[in-house]
Amino acid sequence: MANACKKYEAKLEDFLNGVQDPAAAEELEAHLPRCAGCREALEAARLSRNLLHAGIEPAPEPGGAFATRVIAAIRAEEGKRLAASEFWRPLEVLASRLALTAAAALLVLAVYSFEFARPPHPQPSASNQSQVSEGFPEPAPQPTDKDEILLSLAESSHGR
Amino acid sequence: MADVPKTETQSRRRAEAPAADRRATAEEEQQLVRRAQRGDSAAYEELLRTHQQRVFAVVGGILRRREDIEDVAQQVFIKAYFSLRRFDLRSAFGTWLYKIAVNECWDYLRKKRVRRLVYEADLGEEQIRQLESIADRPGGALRLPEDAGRRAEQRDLLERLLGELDEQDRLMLIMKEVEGFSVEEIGEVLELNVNTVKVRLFRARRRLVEIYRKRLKARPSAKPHSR
Repeated sequence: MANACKKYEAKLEDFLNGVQDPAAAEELEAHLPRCAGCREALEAARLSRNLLHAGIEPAPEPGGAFATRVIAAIRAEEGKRLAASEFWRPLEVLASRLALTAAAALLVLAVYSFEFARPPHPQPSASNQSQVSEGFPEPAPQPTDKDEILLSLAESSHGR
Repeated sequence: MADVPKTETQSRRRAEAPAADRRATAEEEQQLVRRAQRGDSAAYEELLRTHQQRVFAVVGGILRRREDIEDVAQQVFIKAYFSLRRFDLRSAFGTWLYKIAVNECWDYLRKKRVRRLVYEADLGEEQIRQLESIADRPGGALRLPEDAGRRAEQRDLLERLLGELDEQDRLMLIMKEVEGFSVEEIGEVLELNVNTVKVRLFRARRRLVEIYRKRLKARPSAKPHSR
């Protein structure tokens, strides 16, 4: 079977459906007498339409009970989904309560560890300082000028 | 060039019961969708009743068996109900629904692993003779035989021919010629450009006739077919 010109396939389909604009129809009318391929393709398209109209039944009508059946099926499905969520509901409640309890316990523990259980930082006090200085000799006073530095060097070398 | 007869421009479904008459206007439909999204089941039931025939048409275009059509159509409406909150109203509700229907059909076929029916050379002499009598008559005014048994047999033969087409091409042909969808609607449902739909439809017609003629030629005593 000869092929239709690719350029005219959509136009031929429109022509077959009777929905063509006048300019396209005019173009096709000028083309068809000169093109055996397009003529043959158009004939085949008409034949296919005959075959389909003559022999293919439209889909069956849904019938009056169809909508009722669908709504009932939707209700059943909703019920199933609800039952599934109800089945797990006690566990969800328990889990949420456990989570709340755990969170509260953690909070209490955190506050306690911050405020009470933390080891106290030793604060340097005056009495402590005096206790320390009693155990150890006082360091030598630092020289304040060059003469004192030289003097302290001389003393230390003499001491050796 | 002869004009296309009026009857040729109409599908069988449109000729029998215009779907547009049964459909609510776009605005009314949007109101219904919004109500259904808020949990109004009566609104959803109204949407269901408005679109059930066309969902059957789309599903029937792919599956063809009544039992399968009912099961899958029911599944489509259940799925749509539970997905309704995600529908953003950017397209028409029908388009959204028919897309669900098409996807549900492909899923169904995948799950059932139904293989395409291909009948290479299993038509008998009588069946081929019946094929010859169905079509190929000028004027397009074709009638199936009066006898119900023969009529059913001829329909079965044509279903077989259609079974040899690509699934999407078959769906397009049935939606267009049998169920009364427009080219634009087919494009929306199958997410194809309108021009692509026209070209594919035109080629699918040609392919169907090729298969038909091949069957006639397979007959040993067949006369050459001029059309």
